[in-house]
Amino acid sequence: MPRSAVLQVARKDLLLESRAAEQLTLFAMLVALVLVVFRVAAEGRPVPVATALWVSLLLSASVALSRSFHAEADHGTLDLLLASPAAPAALFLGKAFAGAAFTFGAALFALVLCAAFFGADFVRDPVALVAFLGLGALGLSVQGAFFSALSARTRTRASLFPVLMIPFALPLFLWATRGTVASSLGAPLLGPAVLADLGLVAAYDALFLVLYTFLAPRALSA
Amino acid sequence: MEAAPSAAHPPLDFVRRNALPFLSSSAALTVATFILALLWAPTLSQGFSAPVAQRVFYLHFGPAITSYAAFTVAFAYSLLYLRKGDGDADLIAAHSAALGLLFAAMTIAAGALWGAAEWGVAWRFEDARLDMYLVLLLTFIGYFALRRQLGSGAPRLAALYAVAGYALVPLSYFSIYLWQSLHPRVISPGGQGVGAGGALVLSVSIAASLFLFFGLLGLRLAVSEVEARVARLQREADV
Repeated sequence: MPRSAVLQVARKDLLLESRAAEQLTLFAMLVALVLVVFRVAAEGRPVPVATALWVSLLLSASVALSRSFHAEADHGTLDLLLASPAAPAALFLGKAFAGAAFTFGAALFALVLCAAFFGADFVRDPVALVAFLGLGALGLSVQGAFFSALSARTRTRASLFPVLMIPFALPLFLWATRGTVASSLGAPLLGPAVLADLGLVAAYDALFLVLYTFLAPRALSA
Repeated sequence: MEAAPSAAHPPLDFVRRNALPFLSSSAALTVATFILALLWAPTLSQGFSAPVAQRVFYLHFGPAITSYAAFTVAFAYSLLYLRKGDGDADLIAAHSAALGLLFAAMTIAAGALWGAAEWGVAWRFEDARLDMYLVLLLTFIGYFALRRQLGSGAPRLAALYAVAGYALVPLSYFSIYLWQSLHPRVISPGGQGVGAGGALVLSVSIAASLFLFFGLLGLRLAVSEVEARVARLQREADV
């Protein structure tokens, strides 16, 4: 599979997003709404900030990432994409990497909001935090791109997408939240608690990236 | 209307023709499991605050292993469907996944009973094994949501989903090694074991659950065959 095709698909999505800002707007709105709900519900009591951060990312990703292939289906460009010389696996990977960039952007936005709403005390180890956000964003995006491809040709794709994606995103959410909480409590990056969860998130990303690269072409041609 | 499973899958054909012997064997073995687990199996007192409740383990382990086996059958026949486009394979995968959900629910119910006695709560969300098993259950509920909502493309997309979902089965099984878990390690490496008596009860429990799975699968396949025959007769009558 030519690497340039993957990069071209990712570049196309990033370019379109820079003009329409469809996914980023969805991400930003949902992240902000979930964090506001946490802030209001806390009523001045301490909030598990790392948990709030990941809940906002999981919920916003379960809506915003559906657009990666659903938008193509809505605009009637999915068949054109499939008719292009790019291999279907390259389409999937390009979408997944572009989605990872959007999700990582949303994660940084969520980080700023968390610091504004709850204080920046939870950022004890910025390297560990960025590592979790980066790998978590990639994992969410890989799941999002695959289930968006799988449900793109269905009539009820918008309602079906979160039902399909969230169970697969839950392990990522659990490990990333746990590792981020440990890191925010002062556990060192190279310590067993943080490193184990970081390793699990990375392994989960790699497993599904490889698996979906084989399955996505079949999902797109179904 | 579903297609009838043909004789192209000899092992499943055997299961379909012998559904009742499987079910009656399972009934006898289930009664034996209850009697042996409650009255005969050794009490494991080491590491348990409610050693008597630990006997629920004998009713929990069989369905748990059977749920993994059912999801494995669903995975194998989904792969077969993707490879050959065989409608029977899709039907068998769907029935196996449904039974996998049934056995997963039984596993969770028995585990919750034990958890209420041992921990004071039926479920602990901080436990890796419990969480991963719940994720697996939700994944296969998603499989049926997908099947219900799709039209003609259902089998292919559902097969892809089942193949992806199966990746969570080993993750669920090995979660007690990947993560620190509150879930007891009884027969796993590092566990205290159940002794010869306990191993016998476990074997009977597993056999009872597996026979129940094959009996119900056979029954469901036989029902599908009758449904397909009725549909064919109705079509002929309409002509």
